[in-house]
Amino acid sequence: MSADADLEEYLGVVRRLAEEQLPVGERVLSPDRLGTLRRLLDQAGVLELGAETELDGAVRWLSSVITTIARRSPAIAFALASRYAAQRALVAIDTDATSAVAGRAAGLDDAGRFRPIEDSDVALPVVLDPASVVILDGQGRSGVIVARSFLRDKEVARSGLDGAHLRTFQLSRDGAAALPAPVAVAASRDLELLLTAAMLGTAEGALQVSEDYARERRQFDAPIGSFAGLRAILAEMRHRAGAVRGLLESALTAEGVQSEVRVLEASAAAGRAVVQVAIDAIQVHGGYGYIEEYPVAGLLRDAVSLRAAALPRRLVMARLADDRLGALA
Amino acid sequence: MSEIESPAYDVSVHESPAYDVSGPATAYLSALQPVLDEVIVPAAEDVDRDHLFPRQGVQALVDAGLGGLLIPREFGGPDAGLVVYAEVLARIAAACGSTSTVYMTNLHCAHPIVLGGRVDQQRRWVPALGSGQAFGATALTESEAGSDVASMRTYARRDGDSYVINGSKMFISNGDVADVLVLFATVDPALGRDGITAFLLDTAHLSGFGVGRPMDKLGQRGASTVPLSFDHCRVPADAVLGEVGRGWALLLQAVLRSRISAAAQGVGFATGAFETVVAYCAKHGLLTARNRAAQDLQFDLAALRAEISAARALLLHACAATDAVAAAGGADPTALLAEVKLHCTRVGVQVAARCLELLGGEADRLDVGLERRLRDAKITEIYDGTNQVQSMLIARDLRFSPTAMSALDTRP
Repeated sequence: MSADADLEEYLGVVRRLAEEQLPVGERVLSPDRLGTLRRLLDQAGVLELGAETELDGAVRWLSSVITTIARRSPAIAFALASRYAAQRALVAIDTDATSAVAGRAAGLDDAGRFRPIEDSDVALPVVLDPASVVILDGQGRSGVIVARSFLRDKEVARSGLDGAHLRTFQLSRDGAAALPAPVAVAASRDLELLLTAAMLGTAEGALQVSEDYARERRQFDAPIGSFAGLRAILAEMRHRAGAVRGLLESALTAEGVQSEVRVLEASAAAGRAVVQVAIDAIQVHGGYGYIEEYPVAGLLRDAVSLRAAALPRRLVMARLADDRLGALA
Repeated sequence: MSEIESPAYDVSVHESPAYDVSGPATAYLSALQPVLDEVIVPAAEDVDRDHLFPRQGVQALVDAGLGGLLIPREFGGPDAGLVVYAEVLARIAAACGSTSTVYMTNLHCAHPIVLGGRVDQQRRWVPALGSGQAFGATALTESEAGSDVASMRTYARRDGDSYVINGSKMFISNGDVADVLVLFATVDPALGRDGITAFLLDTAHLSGFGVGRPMDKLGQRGASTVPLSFDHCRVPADAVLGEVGRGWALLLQAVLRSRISAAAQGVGFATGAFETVVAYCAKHGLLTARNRAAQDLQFDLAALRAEISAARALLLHACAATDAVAAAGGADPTALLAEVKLHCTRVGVQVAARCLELLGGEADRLDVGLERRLRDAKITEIYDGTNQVQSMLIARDLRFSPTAMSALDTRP
C-alpha cells in the first residue's frame, strides 16, 4: 500500500471517530465524553502521532488529521496542533516526554517590541492534560521547555476554543530550559502549519453546516440555497477555503527555506479566511446563526481565537516582504 | 477634460442637506459623555460576560435627557432629529452594544405608535417609552418568517369585541422586559400582506401570553432576546394600532427608521474597535513617526479611519436627508436607507475584524474588549432586514431609476 493510501485509510478512521465522538456545535465535552474521546484517540494512535519518527511525510499526516478533526471540533484540533508541535520539538531534542503542548508568547513592550518569554502571557490548551510546555517567543525564533508546574495560571477569559480548555499562563519562576534555536524555529514553523490546518478545517466545517442549512431552510416558498445571492456567499466561502487548501498543500510540499515562506503564505490566508468564512456562515443562517444553540456562532469565536494563536499577521507580512526585498532598512 | 476623466455623476447638481453636529447636537453629546465614562463603559465587559440587562445604563441615559431623542415634542420628547440620534446611538454602541440595543428598541417601539396610533394610545405609551418609565418591544419575526416577513402565521381572529391571538414570535429584543408590545399578526392568512395588522398590547394585562427563555447569543448578550408565544390570547378590538389590514404599510415605515439604528450601531462598533486598537498602539509606541517599522500598521489604521469616516458621513447624510424629506411631507427614502444600512453594518463587521488582526495574540482576550465589538456587530447585518434584503431593495431601485445614485441624490 502506498503512503498516500495509508494516509487515506488512517484519515477514514479519524473521520469516523470524529463523526461519532465530536458532535458539531458541542463546545465543551462532558468529563465522561472527554474520557471516551481521549481513550479512542489514544487507541487510534492520534495522541502520539506527533512523536512518530518513522512516518513517511509526517507533517502531512499531522496536518490532515487536524483538518479532519477541525471540521467537527476546532477546539480539539487546536489542542492536537499544539500537542504535535511540542512533540516534534521534544523528539528533536531527544526527550521522551510526549505529553506536551506548544504555544506562543504574546504581548508587546512599550516600544512595540515582542516581550521576552518570561514577561509574556501564553495561551495553551490543557484539555489533553500536558505535563510540560514549549513556549515560543512572539517571533518564533527562540523557545523554552518547562514543566507545567512551573507556570502560573492567570485569570484571562478568551473568545473561543472553550473545548480545548484554553488557559493563559506565565512563567512563575526559573526552571525553563532553552530550546536550541533551530528546534525553536522548526517548532514555530510546525505550529504555524498545524494551526493553518486547524483554521482550514474550521472554515470547511463552517461551509459544510452552512450548505446543509441552505438546503433545509425555506423562505419565500423555496430553499434559501436556491437564491443566487445566497449561493454566491456560499461560493465565496468555498473559494476562500479552497485557496487556503491550495496554499497549505504548497507549504506541505515545499522544502528548505521555501518551506517557511509557504507556511507563512498559507497562514496569512487562513487567518483571514477562517474569520470571514465564519462571519459568512452566520449570515447564511440569519438570526439562528447568532444564537449559541447553532454551531456557527461558536465557530466565529473559535476562528478569532485560532487566529490569535497563530503568528501576528503583521509579522507574517513583514517576513514575506523580507523574503523578496531583504530586511527592512 | 477627456471622456474618461469626466465624472459620470456630479454631486454638485444635487441638493445636499447639511448635517450639523454642532449647536444643539453638541449639548446632547456633552450630556452623553459622562454617562459613557461613568456608567456605560465601566459596565460593558460585565454586561457582555454575565448577560446583565443594562438597566442602569439606560436609566442613566434617560436621566441625562437622552432617553427619547426621536419622541415628538407633543409627547414630551426633544424631537432632536435623526442626525443627533444617530450620533448618540453610535457613541453608545461604541461603548456597549447591549445598552445601545435596549436603548434603540424602546424608540423602535414608540415609532409605529407615533405614526399610526390613536391619540389615547400615543399619550399612554409614547411619553413613557421616551422617559424610560416603560420598556417596549416590537414583535415581528417568526421562526419560519424571517426575511419573508409577509408569510407570518401569528393569527389574530376577530371574536366580537376582541381579537384572539395564536402564534409565536422569535428573536424579540426586550421581549421579556417589555411593558408594551407592538405586535404584527395577520387577521386573515389568505390575504397575505393585506391581512397584516398591528396591535398595541399592554403586557401587564395579557392572558395566554408567554415569554420564553432568553437566547444565549453570540453578542449583545446583555440585551435580552426571547421568543414570545400567544395561546388564545384575547385582546380588546381597540388594541389594533392603526387600521386593520394596514399593518404592512406601518411596518415598512417603522423598519426604515430602525435601519438607521442598525447603521449607527455599525459605525459605533467600528469606532469602538478602532479606538481600542489605537489606544493599544499608542501605549506600545507604534504610532510615533520614528517607528518606521510600524508604518504598515499606521497605514492600516489610516485606511480603517477613512472607512469609518466615510460610513459616518453616509449615515449622517442619510439621517439629514430623511429628516428633510419628512419635514416636506414625503416618504422615507427607502433605497438610501437600505444603502446606509448595508454599508455601515458591513463596515462595522469588517473594521472590527481587521482590528482583531492588528492585535495578534491578545486579540481574543475578553478583557481587551475588541472581539466583543465583532460579536456585537455581526447581528446588525442580520436584524432590521438582512443585508440581502437591503441589497434587494437597492437592486429594485436600480430597475426603476438606473441612473440614480440614491445615496447622494436626496431629491424626493
